[in-house]
Amino acid sequence: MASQDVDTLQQRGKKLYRDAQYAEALDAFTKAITRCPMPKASLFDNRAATYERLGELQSALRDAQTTIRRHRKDITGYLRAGRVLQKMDDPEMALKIYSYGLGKVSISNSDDYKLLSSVHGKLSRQLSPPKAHDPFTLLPVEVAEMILHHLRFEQIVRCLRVSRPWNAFLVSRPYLWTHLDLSRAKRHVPISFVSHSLQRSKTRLTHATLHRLGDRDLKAMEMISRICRNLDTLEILSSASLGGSSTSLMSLNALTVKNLVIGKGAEVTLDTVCGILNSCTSLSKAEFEFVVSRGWQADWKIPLPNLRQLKMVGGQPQVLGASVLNMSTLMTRITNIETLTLNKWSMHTAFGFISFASLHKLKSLDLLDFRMAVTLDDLPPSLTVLRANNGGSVNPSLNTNTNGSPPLPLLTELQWSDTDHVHTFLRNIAGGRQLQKLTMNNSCYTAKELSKVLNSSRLGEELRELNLSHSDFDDDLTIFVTGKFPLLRRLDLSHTLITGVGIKTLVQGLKSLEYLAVNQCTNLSSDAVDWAAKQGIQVDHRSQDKLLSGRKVRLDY
Amino acid sequence: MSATSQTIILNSSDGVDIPVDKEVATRSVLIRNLLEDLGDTGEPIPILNVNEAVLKKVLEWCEQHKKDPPATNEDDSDSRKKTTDIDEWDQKFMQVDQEMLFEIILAANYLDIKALLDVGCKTVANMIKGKSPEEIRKTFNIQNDFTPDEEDQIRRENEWAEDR
Repeated sequence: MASQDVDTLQQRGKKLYRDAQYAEALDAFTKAITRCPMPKASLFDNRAATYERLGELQSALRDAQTTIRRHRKDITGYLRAGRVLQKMDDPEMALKIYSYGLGKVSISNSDDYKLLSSVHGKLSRQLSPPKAHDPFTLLPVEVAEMILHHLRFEQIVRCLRVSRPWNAFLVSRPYLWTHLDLSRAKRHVPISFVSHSLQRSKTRLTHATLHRLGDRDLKAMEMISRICRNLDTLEILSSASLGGSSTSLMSLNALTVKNLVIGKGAEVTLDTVCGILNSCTSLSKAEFEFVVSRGWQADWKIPLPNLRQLKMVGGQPQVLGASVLNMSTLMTRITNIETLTLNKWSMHTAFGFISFASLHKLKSLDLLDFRMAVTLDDLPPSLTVLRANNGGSVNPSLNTNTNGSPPLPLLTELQWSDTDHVHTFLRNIAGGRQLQKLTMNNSCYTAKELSKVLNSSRLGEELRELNLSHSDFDDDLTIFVTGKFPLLRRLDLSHTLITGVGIKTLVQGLKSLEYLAVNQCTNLSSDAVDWAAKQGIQVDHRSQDKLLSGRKVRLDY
Repeated sequence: MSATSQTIILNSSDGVDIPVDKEVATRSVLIRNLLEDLGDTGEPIPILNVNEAVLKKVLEWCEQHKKDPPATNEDDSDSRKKTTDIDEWDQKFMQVDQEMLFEIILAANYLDIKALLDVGCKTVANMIKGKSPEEIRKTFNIQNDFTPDEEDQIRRENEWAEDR
């Protein structure tokens, strides 16, 4: 009964509408809607059309929105809402409604989709800036290529979707596809993308950065190793399957890869690391950001004369600690190493001393969170960069039986965190006076210790960068900095006790200062920060409050 | 003639004579080479592909940049790739409609003014950066000519690269 009634009302409304009796038509549609517990979408569309005729655009829009909500896969509501919005002089919003609709309407309903798509396209082009032109049809190919040079990989991938001519142009340029770079993928990357990308490179791929391939990462690696003989650099940022199998990476030895980076998101076992290094002897750089050990000692089978850079970061707390690395054998294998990073391998009590002195080409040694006892005599004279922390990874004293020249004559960069006795270290090395970069970023540094270090005659004028964040640095110490390091360019005093007065002394005293970090310095007012910025210095100043409001509290204000 | 030897005359494609400092005009490698080959005869130099409006605009840029050191033989392509920073004056200079922007780029290409061509390309790259395919179409008035099926397939394969 009721539905018949509603249908009759709708029919009557439609007839009145056709006869241009809009007020009466409106009445009929409204009655139909109120009498029906679940009114049909078409009723709201009918009433929206009537409101539109009557010039009541807000009401028309509201009914169009209801039509959309009732039937999201139907184009009727989107078309109506878009039309009304254009009448309301809001074409930008109309365009948004159309493109939202294109995302919801099923393409199997091909005619509807085409209609919505053409309305959308027409409005979009109307909204283009005046005198807009397609750069890739207007500019010569070599200029178009210069433009593309400035775009990152994922931006080029986005351009594939613009139009057929753009797509055809981009896929026909192999050099755009020589670095398969998935590092910025925000979601899952389908394997078909990888295979098409390889085809477009005409097998000239030299650099692959794999990320977010889900469980297809082995498949991707297999394709790359089968097709790309020129691969130079392979980075695996995340992997669902590497952890379990070591065989997958062994296919690498079929390649000429020189640089291999396995990121934090791709756990590997120490066995796998050994397997790779023992089989891929062409590697010049090998980095493993998350290595877990199953308790067996590493087996470094063969010499690795090509290896220049090695990084191994321990994954979880290691039961057996650094001893599993079998350092004494490793030292005899990596004789040409220049950069060595061993982080997060904790101490095993039964483990002895370790010497790096035989690595004659070693320039950079990073032992952050590497708990193993090393003395100054264990470091080669070639070293220019040293990073250490955590009580005792490097002992600053000299062995009594030392003869000859003082150690570390070439040192230019020192990070010494968490560790006391910096002044002892500086006294005992030869390189202090030419040090260019010094980092002592820990709360263990009291004002007294800092003044001893900054005053040390062993620290010279060459210093360009100083990081004392988290220490007890205060205004009284600024005078040592300005007096001693006239060439200082970068200074990090975040989490310290510095105030505006200290900032002023520093900025006025350090003529070369370019960068100053004072994040979360609670004694510091923003006036002083603004003043420093006005002096042409790049200042980083985030406070705890701002950090919080940026993340969570923002919605409340 | 000798008193004005520092000024040369360029003749635009629409036949207008434009006097300009030699120092300014020779930012263009094409003009520099022409002067070297022909000698400074005092005759107007015909610039076949560039009309008056665009040529004046290009010369305005050359005037501003006449003291710049000559371009070094290309810094590493890799470092260039990611930086689309444009100096403030150049940014303002490039705030023109697209027709003029592309004319300037074509003129810089023809006249062989590498630094200006580079600024132009960076400006266009910045118009593409950070935009969705749809926004790019809107920016350059491009028609989406994929069929719904094609579009769907291309979207599936490439939407990992979207920002949101």
